[in-house]
Amino acid sequence: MASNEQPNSVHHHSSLQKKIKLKQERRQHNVSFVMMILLTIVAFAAIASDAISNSVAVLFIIVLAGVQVFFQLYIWMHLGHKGHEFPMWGIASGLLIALITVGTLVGLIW
Amino acid sequence: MSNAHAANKSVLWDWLTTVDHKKIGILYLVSGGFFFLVGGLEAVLIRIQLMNPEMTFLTGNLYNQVLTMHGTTMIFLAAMPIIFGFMNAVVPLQIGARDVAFPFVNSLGFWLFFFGGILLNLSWFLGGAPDAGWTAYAPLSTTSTGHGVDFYVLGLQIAGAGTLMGGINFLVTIINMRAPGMTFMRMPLFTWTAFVTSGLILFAFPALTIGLFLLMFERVFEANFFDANMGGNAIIWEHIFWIFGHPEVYILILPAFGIISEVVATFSRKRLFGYSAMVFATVLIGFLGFMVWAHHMFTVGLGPVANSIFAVATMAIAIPTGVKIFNWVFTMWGGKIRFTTANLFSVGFIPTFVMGGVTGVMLAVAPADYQYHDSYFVVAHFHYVIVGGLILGLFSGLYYWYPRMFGLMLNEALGKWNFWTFFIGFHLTFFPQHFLGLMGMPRRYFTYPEEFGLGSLNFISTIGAVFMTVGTIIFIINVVVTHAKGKKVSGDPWDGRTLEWAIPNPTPHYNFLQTPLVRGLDALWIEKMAGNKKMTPAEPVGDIHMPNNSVLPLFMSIGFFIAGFGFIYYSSAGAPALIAIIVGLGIGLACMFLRSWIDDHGHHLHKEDLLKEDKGVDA
Ligand code: HEM
Ligand SMILES: [Cu+2]
Repeated sequence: MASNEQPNSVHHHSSLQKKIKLKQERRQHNVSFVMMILLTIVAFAAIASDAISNSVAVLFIIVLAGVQVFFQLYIWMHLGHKGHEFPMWGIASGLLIALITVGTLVGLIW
Repeated sequence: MSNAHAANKSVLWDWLTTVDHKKIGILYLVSGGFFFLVGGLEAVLIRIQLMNPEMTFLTGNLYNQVLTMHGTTMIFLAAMPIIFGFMNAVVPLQIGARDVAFPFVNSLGFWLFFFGGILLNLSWFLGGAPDAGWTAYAPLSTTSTGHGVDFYVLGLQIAGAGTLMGGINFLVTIINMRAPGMTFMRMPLFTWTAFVTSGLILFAFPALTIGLFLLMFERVFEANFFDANMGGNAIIWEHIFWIFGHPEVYILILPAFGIISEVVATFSRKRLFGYSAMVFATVLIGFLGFMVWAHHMFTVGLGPVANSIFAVATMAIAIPTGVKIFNWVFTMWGGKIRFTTANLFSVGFIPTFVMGGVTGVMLAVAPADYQYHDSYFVVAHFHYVIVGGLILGLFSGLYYWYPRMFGLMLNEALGKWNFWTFFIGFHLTFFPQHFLGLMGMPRRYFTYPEEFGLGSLNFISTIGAVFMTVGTIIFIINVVVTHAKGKKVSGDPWDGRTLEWAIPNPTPHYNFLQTPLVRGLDALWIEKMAGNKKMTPAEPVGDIHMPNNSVLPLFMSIGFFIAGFGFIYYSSAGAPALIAIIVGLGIGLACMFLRSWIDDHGHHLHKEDLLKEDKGVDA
């Protein structure tokens, strides 16, 4: 990235900094928007085409889904910003419970 | 005359469009109370049929319908909404907030629950109610004829969406809306339990949503998730249902724990014993509640390893639960106890709930459960924890918070009659059912032969049900008498300890003129002990920002209600059903669009008016 300013180093240029930050953010948004559409198309293609076997395709789209979740949470919902510790905790505990539950369930059924 | 009429109309409109948590709390309470009476009536019908051997009062499929609807109604349409009623009425006040985080969503949650409940109960008039048990096990549910189970699926799906929204709303409210100084470890225990229960709702209800969707696709669109002939697996439904179902029972009981903690502390004039242990136990119960679902499936054949793990995990829950019991007893120990009706219900709760916990641990012994499972022993267990636990807790909360919610004090003499008839009736009804179960009486059967010797205990059980009915009727009389007299009480009739009692009566629309500054646990009590008449304000008097009423939640819910009908009849009615689906979803989507499109910034109450109004209250 071209503009490599430290967000909280200078105080009196805060408005300029804000502008730069906003610009950065807009770029991130645009990039991730295009990426998310591309990933969705790729996921669809993976299932629609016969080129890859089904089980590989399923694994593949799960990975893609993970990337999408990352984009959604960090770019769009600003999870990385300050003051988002609570949602982080919530998501972490939700993931923990979901993993244990689904893991056990799969273990019990198959 | 015409003026009064106009005023009346606007009162109705106000209730239909309200986003005020206090009014939504009352709406939840009244509709939950209504469904409680419906479910209670169904229970009485069941008990009449079982009163004597070989009765023919209510048999066969009709019995199955009444039994199914009793369980479903009581859990989803009575217990859950009444809990949400208290959460709405009390939590914002206890944390010093002026409303919940999302007042619009709050209203939407209520109306979705309401129309889901109506949809489910309309099945009675439209060809028969669901008949596959409240657990709707496949393949019983997937092969049940008629549309009964479709009503179950769609009704619960709509009501469940409302519940999920409510849970999210309270999580955000409690995280974000606490008054200055109200740290997590200063929150009253009812708020803590509301918080953990909301978290459980957030994590558990999606499992129900998915399960209901699978069942819906199986019944309406001929999918085969649970059909072994087509490569499906009926056991998956049981897993999904109990992954939701066991956390659900803790969703129900935790708020009752919270109520008991408030009531016992207030009427012992003591700080709750072991507050931090109580908080820790609540969180731990919430967490462990997700790890035990297979104890409902010990007899399915999961194998000894799985059964043992789930048995041990289940028994582990008894530990934090025991911590709570001891803490309540120690709170009372050496306290200046007042046996008001609210406290009677709480004190009655403690030993009753312990008995339910003990049978729970007995059931958790997997090999022994082969004997107990699907017998009346299980019926006795869960009624001890749900009626003897949750319902006693809810009654306690009603008597305790009635002055806060309605500005009136329920009659204490009638209250005591209410307690004793209900309490004695409860034990008469359900204690003998332990032995009926041990004697081999299976649950969900509509009769039993004379020679089995189950007659006399069943008869006692039915007598108990009559007592419980009398208790409930006394409660209704109490409500009527109280409102007929209409004698207002002060804002703090019990010498309370927590913030909700720091507010004048009737509660102002905006709750707190000035947001209070919280200086510790039992915020109001601290000020009282410091000799202050009022809470110390955290801000000067200023304009107050309030949300606007909206009719969109009502219309949105009506839209989904109509669409629900369409889905129910889709498999048999074809085109008209499709139209209902399109129209209904269209209304719902249009309301969502309007909500997003129209900016609604709420309104401000001005400082000068507020000060005038405040003087009026004091005078
Ligand atoms: C110490 C705590 C508890 C333990 C160890 C426990 C254990 C169990 C077990 C093992 C069963 C399955 C019995 C069977 O079907 O064979 C069961 C059923 C049940 N429990 Fe509990 N339980 C506890 C607390 C609660 C609480 C607090 C509630 C609700 C407020 C509750 C509600 C139920 C219900 C509704 C069922 C029956 C569900 C059905 O099959 O329809 N339990 N319990
Ligand atoms: Cu359970």
